[in-house]
Amino acid sequence: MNHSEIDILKRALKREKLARKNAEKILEEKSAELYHLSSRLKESNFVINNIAKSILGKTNYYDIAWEILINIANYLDTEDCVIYLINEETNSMEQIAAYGSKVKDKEILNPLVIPIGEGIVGSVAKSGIPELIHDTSKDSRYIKDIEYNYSEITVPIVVEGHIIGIIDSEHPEKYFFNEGQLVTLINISRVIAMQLNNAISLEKRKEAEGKYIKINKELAKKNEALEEYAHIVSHDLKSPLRSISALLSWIKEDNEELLNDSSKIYFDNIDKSLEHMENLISDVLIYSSISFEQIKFTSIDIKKLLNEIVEYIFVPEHITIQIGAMPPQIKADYTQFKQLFQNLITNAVKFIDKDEGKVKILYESDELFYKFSISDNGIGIDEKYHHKIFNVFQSLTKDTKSSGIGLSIVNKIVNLYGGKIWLESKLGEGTTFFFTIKK
Amino acid sequence: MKGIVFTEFLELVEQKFGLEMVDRIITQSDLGSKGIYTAIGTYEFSEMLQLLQNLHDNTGIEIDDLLRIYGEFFFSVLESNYGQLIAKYSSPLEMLASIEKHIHVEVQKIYPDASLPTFDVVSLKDNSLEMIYKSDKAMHHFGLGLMTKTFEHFDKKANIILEKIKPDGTEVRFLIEEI
Repeated sequence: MNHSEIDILKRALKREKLARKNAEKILEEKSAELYHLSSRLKESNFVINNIAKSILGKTNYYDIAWEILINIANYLDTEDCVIYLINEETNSMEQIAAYGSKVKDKEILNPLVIPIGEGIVGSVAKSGIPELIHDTSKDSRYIKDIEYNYSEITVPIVVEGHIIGIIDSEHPEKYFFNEGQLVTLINISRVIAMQLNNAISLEKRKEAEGKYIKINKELAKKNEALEEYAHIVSHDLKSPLRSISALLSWIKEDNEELLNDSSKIYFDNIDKSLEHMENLISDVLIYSSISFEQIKFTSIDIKKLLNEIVEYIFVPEHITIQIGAMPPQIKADYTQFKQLFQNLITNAVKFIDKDEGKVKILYESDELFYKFSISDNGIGIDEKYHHKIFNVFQSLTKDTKSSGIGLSIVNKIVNLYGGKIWLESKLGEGTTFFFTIKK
Repeated sequence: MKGIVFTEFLELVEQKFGLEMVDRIITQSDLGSKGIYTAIGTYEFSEMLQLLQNLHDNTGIEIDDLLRIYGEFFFSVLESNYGQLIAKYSSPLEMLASIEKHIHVEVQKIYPDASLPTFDVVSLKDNSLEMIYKSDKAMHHFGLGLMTKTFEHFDKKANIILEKIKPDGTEVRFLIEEI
């Protein structure tokens, strides 16, 4: 081996040695970096796990938010951590839970409300993009709360594309937070988003349900009182009415000779008015007495009931009433059912203007309901009145015998038996009322 | 550029031309690293250009040919170091078509800072593949060498046509036909 060959080998060996040392240095740095990364990852996993465990089964969103905050504040080693919830109605955010000097016994002192778009928190609420800020003094969006904090991490809480809240942490030192912590907070936000959202929905639902129950109770009480009142009033009104009627007939009898023709017509009109008033009061009485508590269930033979009604009410000669096949027996209150059919049949008869009147009562059945129909070839009802004829005191005629309560009574009874009532009608051709009764 | 490209290159030079040639091209080049390379380090690409240029000057072999031969040699390095990765493929065309979507993804896992060329698949048929190579390093012949060896690995043969889309070789079309 000559000198130059030895020199080449020496140089090669020197390069190899140095390369080895370089490699060792690189590997050392790499392993330090890996160690650092893995401990960050461990910390991150630890806090995420802890949060997941601590909110497990919690349904109150204050409790959930509070658990999240304690864990995050611990992990980030900061005294300032806040969770905001977004209120879409007011387009703003409110601090619902906070950790640090803002809080006494979990209660936030003077909770900040920030319009969406304002401040760093507000702009994250708008953009949905997490932010890591190393020096807030260089960020014009920063809003100081209690003390000036230079470092800030702000992460949105997103559920199905909707930003429902914000997790925000601050620290007085510059460059306090790092990318790894940002990633951890983003992961925490993903883990808790669904449960927090469910808790908020639950709270809202409870609130709404509470209100609904209260209103329902009040309504039921008012209804009861009103029905009682109507009942008493109607009863009390009837007796003076009868006295007036009796007194009038005595005056008429005693002065038969003295009264002239027009006075006699006036007396007749007074009689008719009294009769109308009596009808009104009777119907109100019936209407107010229809209630579930009043039902006395008996087996009713509908066909028999209908025949009784037809015999009882006034049916002019030119009107025929046809009764189709009927269900054998229905368990219901006899008086109420009589009222129901009687009102509908009377109504049908009353509004017939044809020379040959026809009223048809038919029945069909399905799995859940008995369905009845009462049709006539009368004057018909304009469609614009269809929706209001079942309301109390909505009479479409000026007939003094019509109280305007008849169909309201029908409607109330049908509702009581879990059914529905509706009608089909053509002006000048006739009307068919349909109603169902739950089996 | 990743260190392994330098260490294996010098290994090849030593095998083909002897240690003296290695010593010569290093001494003739002005290298920031002084020719001290480790596979896990990262070095300036300009050092590779100088080494290639000096090897060309000393041997008279065209740089593109040197790169192709180096590519062929480098395939054996991959074969012995990353055999499992290659074993996932059943045909050379399938493997070449996956460079971008699979192989480079794996490379990036080990070397996050590696700057890799792109191989966009224009069309893949039963027996042909068209890809566009893009890299500011213009080492398309290194790619060609790797491709040739890929076919050999699967006991297959191919016609590979290389068309420069840009004259400086930073964008090149590869038309590969299995025969």
